[in-house]
Amino acid sequence: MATSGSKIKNAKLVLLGDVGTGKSSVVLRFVKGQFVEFQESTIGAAFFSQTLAVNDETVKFEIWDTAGQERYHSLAPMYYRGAAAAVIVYDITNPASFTRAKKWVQELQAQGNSNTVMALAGNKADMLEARKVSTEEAQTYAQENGLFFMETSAKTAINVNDIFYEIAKRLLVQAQPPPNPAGMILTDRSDQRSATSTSCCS
Amino acid sequence: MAAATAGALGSSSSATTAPLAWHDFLERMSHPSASDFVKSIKSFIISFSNSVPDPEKDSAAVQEFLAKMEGSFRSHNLWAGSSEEELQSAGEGLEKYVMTKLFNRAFASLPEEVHSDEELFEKIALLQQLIQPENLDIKPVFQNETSWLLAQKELQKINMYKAPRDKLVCILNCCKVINNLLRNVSMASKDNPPGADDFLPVLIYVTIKARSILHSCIQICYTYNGTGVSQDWFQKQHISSQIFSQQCLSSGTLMHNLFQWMKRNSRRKWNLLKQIFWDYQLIRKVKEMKPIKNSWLKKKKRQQGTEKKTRL
Repeated sequence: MATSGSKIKNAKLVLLGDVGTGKSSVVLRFVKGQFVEFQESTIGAAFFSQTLAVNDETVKFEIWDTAGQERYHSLAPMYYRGAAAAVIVYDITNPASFTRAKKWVQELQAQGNSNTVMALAGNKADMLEARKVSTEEAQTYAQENGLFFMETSAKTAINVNDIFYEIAKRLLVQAQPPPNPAGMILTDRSDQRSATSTSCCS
Repeated sequence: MAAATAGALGSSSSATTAPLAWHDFLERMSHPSASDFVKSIKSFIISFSNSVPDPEKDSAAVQEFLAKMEGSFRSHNLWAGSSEEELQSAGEGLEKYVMTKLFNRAFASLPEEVHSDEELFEKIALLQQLIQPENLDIKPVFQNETSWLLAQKELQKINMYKAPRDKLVCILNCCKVINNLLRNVSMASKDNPPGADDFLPVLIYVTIKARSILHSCIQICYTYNGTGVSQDWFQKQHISSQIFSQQCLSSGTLMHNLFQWMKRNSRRKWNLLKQIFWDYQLIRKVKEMKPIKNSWLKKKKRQQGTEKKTRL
């Protein structure tokens, strides 16, 4: 309140998911639908930035698309490192892409920053007759892994803005409680994890 | 082809940093009141050139000097009443000047860098002979080797420039060309807009084919340049394509794919590949990622002529 109103939070958002799940279409729908025509002048085939207002605050997303092919997997850490948010996209008509999405979640949980807001997006939700991955299955998986989940359609724009809006909200909530300089609570899960990681070289 | 050229280059024809800014910088520096600036620039260049190379310290030293000078520009009457943009382009001019002067000292100054350049160059030379768009998962609709030559040309210009920013512009122009090509195709076929799935493989292909990119060249862009966000993305893409082409030879998966593809499609290349693969395995056993020797390359070229009939 003291630093009145329009605070802008920059957030890097990375898009992960199998090839052909429509990652770039989702972003394009988000960027196009809410803002001016996506700028011809920018060089971005796969880089966009978009601002989103949540109440009196603003989140400026820098959206990084990644190549989904399996063979480029090893490059992914370069992109998700330092990302405030990750949207993991799968295609509801393609079970293999859901399996791949789960792998991404695992990888991010193991390698990424624990503060990264993760969203699971079941894209192509307009193609109901071809559906192969049930909403319940994905929903359960998301709940178990602490992700939030939405089925989206880049084609009809269903839930596309909502998923980014939800991410923005969560990022702002995360940013709100100022870091408590006195207390550090770093117990729980980190112990077990470090134990596994050291075992190999000792 | 001519039409494709015009379309592909489209917005990307603005190569290199703005020449006006550069001339403006030189002009201001030749003004008598800039003599102190000239002195300190010269003394920085001399002291830098005499110091022992150390990429990390070097980068910090250059950045610090540039920041200090930009600060002094701001308060000097040569730039009195200048806009933020003009001051920024003065900073760019200074960076270009300093980095051009320090080029020999900063570029490939460490023996390891020279070594990894040679190593990379040799590997890419091998890869270049064999790689096919299919091997990189480039969708058939996007396969257009003649148009990619344009992107290749943009990238090859990188060795013509000394200043990091100019080098970066070459990378960006290459990316723009690729992007425009992809977009034209997807617009024509009413396909989904191209994304990273389509972009990165083409960039990797072009990078391998252009072959002019050296490790230290990339290093220099990274060491000395802090730039805008979308440029960041392209730099990332570009460095990924570099890393990927290096990994190609170490991971073996691409080699395997190449193997299968060649077997089906080209008997001659298949023989060549068999040889490379075999040699590579052998070398790898001796030491992980040991560079393939120059003499070996020459020998291979000599052999190529004679082996055609004899092998498999």
